[in-house]
Amino acid sequence: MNDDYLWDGSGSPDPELQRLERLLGRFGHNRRAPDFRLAVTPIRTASPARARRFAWPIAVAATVVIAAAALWGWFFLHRNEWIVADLNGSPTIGGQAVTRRGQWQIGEKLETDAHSRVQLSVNGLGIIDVDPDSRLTLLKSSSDEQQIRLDRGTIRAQIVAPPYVFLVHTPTAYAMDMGCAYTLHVAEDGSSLLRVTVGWVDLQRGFRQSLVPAGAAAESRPGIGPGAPYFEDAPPAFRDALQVINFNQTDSNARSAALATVLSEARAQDAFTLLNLFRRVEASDRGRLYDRLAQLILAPRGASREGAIAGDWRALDPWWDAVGVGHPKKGHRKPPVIKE
Amino acid sequence: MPETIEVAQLVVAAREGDRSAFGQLYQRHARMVHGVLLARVAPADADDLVQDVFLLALRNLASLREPAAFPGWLLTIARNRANDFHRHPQAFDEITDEAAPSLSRAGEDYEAHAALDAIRGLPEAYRETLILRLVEGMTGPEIAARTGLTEGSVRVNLHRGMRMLREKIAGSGRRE
Repeated sequence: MNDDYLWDGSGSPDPELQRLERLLGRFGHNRRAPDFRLAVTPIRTASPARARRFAWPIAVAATVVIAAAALWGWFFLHRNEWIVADLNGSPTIGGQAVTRRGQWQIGEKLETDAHSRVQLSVNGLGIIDVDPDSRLTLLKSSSDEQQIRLDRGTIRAQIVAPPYVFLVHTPTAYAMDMGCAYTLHVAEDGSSLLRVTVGWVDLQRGFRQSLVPAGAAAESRPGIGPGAPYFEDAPPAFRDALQVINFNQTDSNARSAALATVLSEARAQDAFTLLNLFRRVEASDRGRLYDRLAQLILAPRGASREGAIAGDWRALDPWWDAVGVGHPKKGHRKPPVIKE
Repeated sequence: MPETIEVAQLVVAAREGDRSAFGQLYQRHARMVHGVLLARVAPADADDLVQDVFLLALRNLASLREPAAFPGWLLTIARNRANDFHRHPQAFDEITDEAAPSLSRAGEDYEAHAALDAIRGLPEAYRETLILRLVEGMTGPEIAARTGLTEGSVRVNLHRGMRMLREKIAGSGRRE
């Protein structure tokens, strides 16, 4: 056995080992790094020095047990409460000035002006940072359902709850958390921009749906709903043309020209966006869309050009594995039924 | 600068809110975390759990007392997360094709899954080290630097693990 090659790849190659490397390399890590710069600030925890100061000997273990029981009781009683964990400036809830450790109740409006921010925390759900110039309302709060409405402004969410527990209503779409961190901005006209940093978000409106993975973004417009998601480092020409396909519902010539640009500018990693376009382009355009997809990525076993062109979306299923963006975690809960 | 000091500096910076420093920690350790997860869960699940592990680490970074201990601490989070995943399978409903390779997978694809299954049947120390070497493409010295194991231990794990793997593959070949 050639141990040098096994150790650091030096020495004469071992053919059997090389074959194993080639076979197994397909399982290796190849995900894009999440953009941690956009992740929200974690709730402050004790510093190491402080933790050391409180590292009592086992003699106080009984006290700790009692404290833990009390904490559990507190957690149980307050598990669905939205608590103001931090704030800057002069935000208001229900028209009243917000105080630290204050609560946000169902039906109340939370507003920040140009100079204020709020950080909210919910046990078992996660943390929501509300940026300046935002207005939102708490709609539901229970152990298996947390819903807010974002009328305008920006929130940054870091969610630890199971998929589909946390849902944000915006004027043009519903953002359903699937275990992730993301930023959601709603403009004055109701249009929205979702940017996912970790995990997945399911963005829906009617029959329009976009599953948005980490590193990708999706916009949503009044009267139309979510557009196809795209990776944020995609070429500008690709992104501009994509917006035409997503949101220009009337000019078929412009849409057809935009599709040509999207197809010519697409990189291999943009195959994910192309897959999302099958439901958004005219049936007559699906053939060239499929052909470009097959140029960017080797067609997986079971893929069917005819099925994709005919609108049989099951024919696209094998492609979702092939494009390499992974799978959203499927929760044990089904997506909630949304009442308009 | 030694790897340990660089990692400690990045951890300190990340703890003070420098997210690009945490991004660098991800870049350095994502393959290792993925390999440790892959030793315990299906490939599609390992891909997803990598993000979970780093998100957990980011949230709990303040509780890490010794910044230089970050790699070992991160590995513990990864192993615990993989164990939790098996303890709570109800949180994830369907088993994907990738999670349960079938005999319909042809040729090299089937061989690849069979080889991965063979590695996952080895004792833990060999399993993790071999996955880091053969799947993640890390060299022995890299594995030692990232995991905190001595180079001697890594060399032994690779040598013995590879010998067991060859025996296992040869055995399965004879049975067929």
